[in-house]
Amino acid sequence: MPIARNYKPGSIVYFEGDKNSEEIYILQNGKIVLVSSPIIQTELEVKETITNGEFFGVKSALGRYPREETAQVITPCVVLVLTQDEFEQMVLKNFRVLLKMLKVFSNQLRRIGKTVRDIMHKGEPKMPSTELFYIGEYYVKQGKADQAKYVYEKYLSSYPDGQFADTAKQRLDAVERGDLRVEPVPSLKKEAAAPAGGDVMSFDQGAVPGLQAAGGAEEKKPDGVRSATEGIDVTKKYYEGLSLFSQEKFQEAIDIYQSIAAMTKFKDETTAKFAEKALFELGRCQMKLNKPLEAIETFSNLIKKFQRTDLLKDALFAIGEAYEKLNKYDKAINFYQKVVNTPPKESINTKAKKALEEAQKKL
Amino acid sequence: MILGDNLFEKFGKVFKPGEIIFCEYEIGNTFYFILNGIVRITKIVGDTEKTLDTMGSGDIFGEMAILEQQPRSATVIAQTEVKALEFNRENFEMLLQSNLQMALKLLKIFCKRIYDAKRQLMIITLDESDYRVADAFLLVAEKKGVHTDERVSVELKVPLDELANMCAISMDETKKALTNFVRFNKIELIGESIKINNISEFLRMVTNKRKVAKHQARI
Repeated sequence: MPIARNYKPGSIVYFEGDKNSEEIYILQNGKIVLVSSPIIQTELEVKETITNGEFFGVKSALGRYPREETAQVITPCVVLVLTQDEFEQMVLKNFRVLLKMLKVFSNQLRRIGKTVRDIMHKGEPKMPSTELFYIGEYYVKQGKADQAKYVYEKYLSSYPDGQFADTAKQRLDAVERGDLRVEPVPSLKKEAAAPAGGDVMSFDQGAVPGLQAAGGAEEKKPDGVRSATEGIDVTKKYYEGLSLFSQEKFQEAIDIYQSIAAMTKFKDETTAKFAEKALFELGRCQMKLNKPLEAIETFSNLIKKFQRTDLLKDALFAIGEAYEKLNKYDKAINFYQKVVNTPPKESINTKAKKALEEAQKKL
Repeated sequence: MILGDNLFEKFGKVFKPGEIIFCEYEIGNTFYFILNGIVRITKIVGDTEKTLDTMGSGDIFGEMAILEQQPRSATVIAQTEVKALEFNRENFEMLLQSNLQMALKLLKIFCKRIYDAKRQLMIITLDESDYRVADAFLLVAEKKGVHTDERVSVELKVPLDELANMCAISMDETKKALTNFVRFNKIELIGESIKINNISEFLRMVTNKRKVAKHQARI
């Protein structure tokens, strides 16, 4: 049976760092504050007030690790003390409580996970699509046909317009014929240190046979453009492009934006942001000139190049529109659906939902 | 754990031995509850496929997909024939409601994960790589149940790449930190493992570093 314990103001239920943290508590009456030291030193202490009926000390007890915070008693309190078994008996009878805890914990986990990822990937961002493709390559090399087949199929369904889509198709055909002796794709050259804070990646694109054919781009980038990154004032060019766009000089705007699009390194985050926007504008110009295939490539490129772009949904939506222009309604629907499914719910989600319904009628 | 046949009819999946259930870096929104059989969790590092763990009946994997659509962090392959229930974000509440034991299990997994993530965050918020490696030693020792505040010698089996990964630094930087510790007689490298001569020294080193950083942050 759970026991009730009384605490006087100023006393402590447990200290941060206490081991053998087996007890779980429910505050029945009074006020308790949980104080924890910040993980990132520049931040302030975190204080959380427990209200009547709330559980505390759950995570450290269930996870069997030291207490993460100090539970300070503010006013006279009555606290119900549970053993782990008693806690389990109690929540197993109460799905609502259990579900609520799951939601609170999963939110915390998501937040911390994001912080960890942000710090970890600052140095060397990895592109899931590229990495996935390479796992396929690994299995081919190992002679594991079934596994390779699975990975290539996943690659093609997840990234139909991906950088390696054509190569993946070739591989898949070969593997299905039982041919595992495919020439490996020369390793992509990942440029070692990306500037801190930027999402910038660069690839030695010439090394991949499938790349240039993908998306049906007609113009190949001239060699050497990639390295000519210094000396271009991205912000200025971006605005020049905008002005040309408003004068309906789309081809001239395209020329300007393409010089930005060829860049792979940016001197700071603001510049990168403008390059991101420029890429989006490039796609818009291509749409204006009725070149949906090129626009699709540009927008896909934008998503690939700036993985955490704020323009993600806009780019996905634009790809949908481009496919509509090509009368490929099924593909268009696919991309609109992606926008609809991507939280948070904003006006573009509603817009995509409408476009999706319209496209379905045309299908 | 009793699961009705109707659950299997709705959500059941059978995987053949050797079949990939999901692959690292694939975007997924499903998670699995193993009814029967064994799965292998693997990761490809360089040119080898490393087994991180195996799981069997009653285990859950892929549960992070409930939280968000991130690329999978490892590959899961059926070792034997595997019967599993496959769920997604939409129907998982239903699953949990029909099986409170599983919900409780998930709650415990989340608790552990939150701690692990926080612990990792603590490592990578240290400025210098030596301190990160020191704190990574502490983490690995803690997981083994070692009392890191006691003057004891501990032998840890951590591959270099894993250590580098935990610290979010390059392999070269990790090697450099290890060499430093060897030079000052704090550790010995014996084959695949790292022998820590006195783990409490590392605890003191990291704790002091954090105190100083905290103090500086306040000024």
